[in-house]
Amino acid sequence: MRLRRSRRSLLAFGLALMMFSACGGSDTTSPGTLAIAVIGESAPGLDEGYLFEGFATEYGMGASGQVIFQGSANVKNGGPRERKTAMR
Amino acid sequence: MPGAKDDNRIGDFSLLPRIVTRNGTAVFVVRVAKQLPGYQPEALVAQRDGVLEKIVANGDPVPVPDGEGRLLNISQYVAVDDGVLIMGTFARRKTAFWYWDFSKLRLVVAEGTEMPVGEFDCKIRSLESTTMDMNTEGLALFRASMFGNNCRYGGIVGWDRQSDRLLAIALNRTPIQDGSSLYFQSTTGDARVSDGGHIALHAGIFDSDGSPGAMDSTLWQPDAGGDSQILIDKQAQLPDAPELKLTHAIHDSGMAPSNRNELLHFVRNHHDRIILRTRIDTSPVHQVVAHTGTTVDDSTSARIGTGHLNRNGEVVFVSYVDDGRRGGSYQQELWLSQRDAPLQAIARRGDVIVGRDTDTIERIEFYNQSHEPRMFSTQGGRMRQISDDGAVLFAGRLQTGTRRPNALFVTRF
Repeated sequence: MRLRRSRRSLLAFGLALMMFSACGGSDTTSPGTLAIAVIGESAPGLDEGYLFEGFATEYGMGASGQVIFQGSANVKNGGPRERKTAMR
Repeated sequence: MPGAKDDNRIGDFSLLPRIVTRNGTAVFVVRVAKQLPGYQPEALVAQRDGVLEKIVANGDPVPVPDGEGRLLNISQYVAVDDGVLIMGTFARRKTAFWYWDFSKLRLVVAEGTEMPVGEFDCKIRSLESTTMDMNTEGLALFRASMFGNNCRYGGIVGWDRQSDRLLAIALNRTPIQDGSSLYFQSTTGDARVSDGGHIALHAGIFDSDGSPGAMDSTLWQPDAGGDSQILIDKQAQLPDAPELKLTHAIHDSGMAPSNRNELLHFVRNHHDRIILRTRIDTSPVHQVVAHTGTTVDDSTSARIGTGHLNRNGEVVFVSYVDDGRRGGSYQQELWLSQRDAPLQAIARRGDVIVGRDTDTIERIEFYNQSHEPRMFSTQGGRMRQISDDGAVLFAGRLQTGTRRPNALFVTRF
């Protein structure tokens, strides 16, 4: 199974709203569980050096497999957060 | 941020839903930096094809019955590919629904809107968010009460986007089979619509002599405003589990119609929950999906939790099982029910994560604000956590080395 991570993420004040796509590719039909976002870890949609530090409790999946969730991210070394608004 | 003003910035968490429609459009609420005095700085936005658009923000001018007012707050919304139905309040805390078609916002209904019912001139007294749903064909449902001369109606009202008309879906005193009629009270009135236009709803029944009958029944309408068929009440018998005596249906989003004349719903046997798959034919046929005591492999369910239905009739639901630790605590497992196939567990503690061979699921945590389980579906316009191609999204904890961080998981089945 492979998650295609869309390049659509939004960052502001270290808060991220991310969309992933859980479809596409020939290896997506095999059963199993994937961790798509983990506290303390980075993810392809996050800015360089940012790690997840929290997730909102409401998250959604599209009928075609896209995933939307909102989380906060901070820089790895615990330094001051960048104030940033970005969509990629 | 294309499509949004420079002074709107994304941020903050919200308990409002994050919806992804069938074509991948995301709809969600953000906190904005632009602060209008007296308004919470929130906006409803949509992201489609990589472009972020503001739908409406608190304090924005919105159409109201007598012209233009300002939005006080956004209280709920549902979304499909063609548009978003928004519930909110405007001046003097009046509630209204608006529809956004990705170009403009139009008023659907507000408290005070006229709605003739039969020979009576009724007006909408109040609107409620709990029943709110909308399908891909543009049929919206919501709960309303009415007032007016000789008008004592209330119940489920619909709105047809194509004709821009309000529809009486199921109101108090609506006659149904055998001379009985519907009634709605605070504990009933939930309704859901499938993309095929089938409607499932909860209502009480007045017997033909006018006395209260079943206080809590689940009904089905094949088409909006058509005859309502009683699917189940507490007198119903379950052929494959006759020992389970029903006590009542579960409200609060506890049902999901599919587009194949089929309903997945919760009912209760005293304090135990039962998931039923009901096929609607000339008469309803009930199949017990799971209940307290159902066993899969070596796990026995102590309680059934939130369920998720997709277009193929596949249902993934939470089963609470004894975790083997002292104190009688339970862990959540995800079980899958497919038509004409045995139940199987698709995610549980100890499962190895794909691509992380030494990491496992430590805990599954389906969050639920309500004490009742919800039934999500890929039908209609509400938030869901399952896909039509066999994936389910959930939160939990990952076991990675000595760490147990929170994580979001996707399980494919």
